[in-house]
Amino acid sequence: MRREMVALALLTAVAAVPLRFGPSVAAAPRATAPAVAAVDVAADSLAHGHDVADATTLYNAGTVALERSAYGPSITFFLAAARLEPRAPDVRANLAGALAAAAHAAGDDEHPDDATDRPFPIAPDEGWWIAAGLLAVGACFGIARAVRVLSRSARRIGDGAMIAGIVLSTWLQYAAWEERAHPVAVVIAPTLSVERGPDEPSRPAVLLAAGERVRLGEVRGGQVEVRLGANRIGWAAREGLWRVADATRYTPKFQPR
Amino acid sequence: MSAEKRKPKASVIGDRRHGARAFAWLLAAVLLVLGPGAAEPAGRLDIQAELDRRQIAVGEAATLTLTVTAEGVDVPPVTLPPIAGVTVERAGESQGFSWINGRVTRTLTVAFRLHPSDVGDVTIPEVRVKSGDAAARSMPLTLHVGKTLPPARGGTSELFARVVLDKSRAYWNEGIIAHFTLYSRVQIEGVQAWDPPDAIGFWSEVMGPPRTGRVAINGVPYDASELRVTYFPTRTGRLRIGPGRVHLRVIRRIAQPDPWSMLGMPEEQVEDVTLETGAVPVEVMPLPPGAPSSFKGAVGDYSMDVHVDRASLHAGEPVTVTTTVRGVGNVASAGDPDVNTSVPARSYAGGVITSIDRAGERLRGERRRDVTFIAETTGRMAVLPVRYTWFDPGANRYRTQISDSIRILVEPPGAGADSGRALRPIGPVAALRAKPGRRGRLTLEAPPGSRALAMASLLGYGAALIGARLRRRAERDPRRRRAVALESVLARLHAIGAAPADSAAAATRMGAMVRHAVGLRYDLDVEGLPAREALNRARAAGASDDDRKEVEEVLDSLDRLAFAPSGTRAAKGIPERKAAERVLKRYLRELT
Repeated sequence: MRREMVALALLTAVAAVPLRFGPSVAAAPRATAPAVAAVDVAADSLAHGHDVADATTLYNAGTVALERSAYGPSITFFLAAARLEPRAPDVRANLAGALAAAAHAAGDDEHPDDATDRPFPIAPDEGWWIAAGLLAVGACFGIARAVRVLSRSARRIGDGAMIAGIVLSTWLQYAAWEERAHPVAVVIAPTLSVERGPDEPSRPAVLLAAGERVRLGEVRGGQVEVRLGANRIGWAAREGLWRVADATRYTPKFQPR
Repeated sequence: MSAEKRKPKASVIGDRRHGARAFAWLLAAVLLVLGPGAAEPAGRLDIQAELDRRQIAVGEAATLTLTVTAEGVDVPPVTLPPIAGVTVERAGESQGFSWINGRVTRTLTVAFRLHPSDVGDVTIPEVRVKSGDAAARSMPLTLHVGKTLPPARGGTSELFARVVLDKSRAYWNEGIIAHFTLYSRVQIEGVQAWDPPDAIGFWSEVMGPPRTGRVAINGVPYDASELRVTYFPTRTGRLRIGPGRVHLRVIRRIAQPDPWSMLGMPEEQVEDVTLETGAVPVEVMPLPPGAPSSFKGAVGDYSMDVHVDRASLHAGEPVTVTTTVRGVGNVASAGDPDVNTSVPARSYAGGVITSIDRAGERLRGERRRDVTFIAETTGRMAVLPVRYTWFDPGANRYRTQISDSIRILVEPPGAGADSGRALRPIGPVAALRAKPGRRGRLTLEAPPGSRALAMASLLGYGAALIGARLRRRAERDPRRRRAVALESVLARLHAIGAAPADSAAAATRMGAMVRHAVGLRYDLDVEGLPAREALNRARAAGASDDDRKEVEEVLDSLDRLAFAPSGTRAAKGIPERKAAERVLKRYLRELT
């Protein structure tokens, strides 16, 4: 009995995390950030980060930005559009072109970044629905198994669906948590200087080129912590970075004529 | 040898003599032009005086070093004027010579040992030197002569520690060197360890490992171990340095009480000792007013270099201006000069790299900072003169060094320039859309519907798991298994009574069922046993007398029914069956 209770508690926790930590609270920075910055970021998220976006609006803004050689904004818009329509050919093509152009402008022709090379391009919503469906199938088989004897193949199908649903929802949950804690952002300034903090060992500044994708951390005044992968590389001006989740707020600047 | 053959040879020799003579004249002319006198149109003479310590006690000696630097003139002799109350001893001298870029520089360094005979401040007068038309004089110095050195705590005349400062008055952020010295005439085991001396209101830098040597105090030789710490005051007023503590292990020799004993060798004991120096007051003065705007807090003796990594570039490319400040003082708080350009350009200031040299007599260091500019407009761009100001406590004034402006040519974006790369035409772009696309949120959170479905699925799956588990547990309970078997027996008993085809056989089966039920009720194996034996075992297993009596009556009645004459069985079988059913139902109630 105890084993079942523990398993049920874990499963419930996996699915209940988004319920307990709502979007407005989850978008706030960690407790170490100053309260002013926390309120600022939370207000940003409330105002813009969770608006309903339209893929066409984002795509058109990205295309206009690409035609104006504004690679950072165009990559931001295309990444946001790809969150809604990840398999759209025009979004994938223009995103690949923007990444290649940004890499060329930064002098890295040999290793262009390719964000479109994903084996299973699915939107986050689709992933969540697939995970929920797998969990529902597994639950149906489990309930049937409780009331009557099932064949071995039916039991395997039910267990496999449940395990796949749990793994997929856990992965999606981790991705959502990572996005809340360290949102993906794109460098929009032609050159962004990332420097060490005042209480950290000094070293030469890291210069990021337009279009490079990073993750953001704490916010202190006008500075934001910049991370590459899981590593902090320093602090940079907030104005030089756009969060992908906030892409809708910038679309009025790149309207097609 | 013929004359014809000699003539050309003589001619050759004559040419060589003429050539050698011409070369000699040319060499003389070059030496005349490039010689020391010509290469040094104006001679320069300089003299510096320096004391190794500013505070001593009567009986101790301080070392005064006079360094004469002469460029283009002869080095004059150095004599120290008489100083009242001080015995001067000439300790030695050395000379140096260098020739750099045609300029000859000679140096003469003379060391004097000063032995003051009385307490008070000794003023070392300025020392004047003259060579030709050039003359120089040194700054006067003051040597504080105390009655005794600052008190030592916890020591003896054989072993004690003291702290001596090179100055008792200093400006804010001016370096003060504290000498924490351990004097010993006893045997010490291992290496002593100094605790960081207490100094509130100071930024401290320890100057390398302790130095050891031998010194004489009032004619008594001591082994000395000296730790040097440079303190930079971070606030003004009357502050205090010390006390410093040193931990060491002293080897003491204890004589045996019986000197005639065979084992009368002295015994050695190791004793842990902690000594403490006194605390020395320091008066910290604020910096004089009127600091230039380029003053960033540097106090000491500094110099600045400005370096640019390229002189021409294309628009959009970065150029890095490196400023290097080096000198004597607290470079960590010396600040960096501001760097500006003549035309608007994006600037990115890099981090500061600081290095400190603790090996010398004074704390030296260097701090370097890169500032990157990206010019967007073509034409001329200049790095404006960089100004760096520091306060010189020796001269008691602010000094400013200004670099030259540096011109940089910004060319239009070329094929290889970054800006040219940025403006490269991009490939084909997919057309704009006309129809609305898919709508949704850009966050990665789960949609409410999928979240509800997942929650319901997980709860249902968990409930199914719990239900299955409960059922399996119930099935594994022996009491419940007996009750289930008893239910089955009761059902079969009821079925027999409903259609009695043969009453005798039915009564026999009912009797067997009742015995089986007794076995299930009391968890006994009564199969094949006679009724009496089965009831005896049931009583041994806890059956009450009433129960035993009732079951016995039921079994007797069934036996009578089984052996009753035919024709009366059908009517008489009903009450026996009902009595058996009552017993089984009671058993079932008791089990469940």
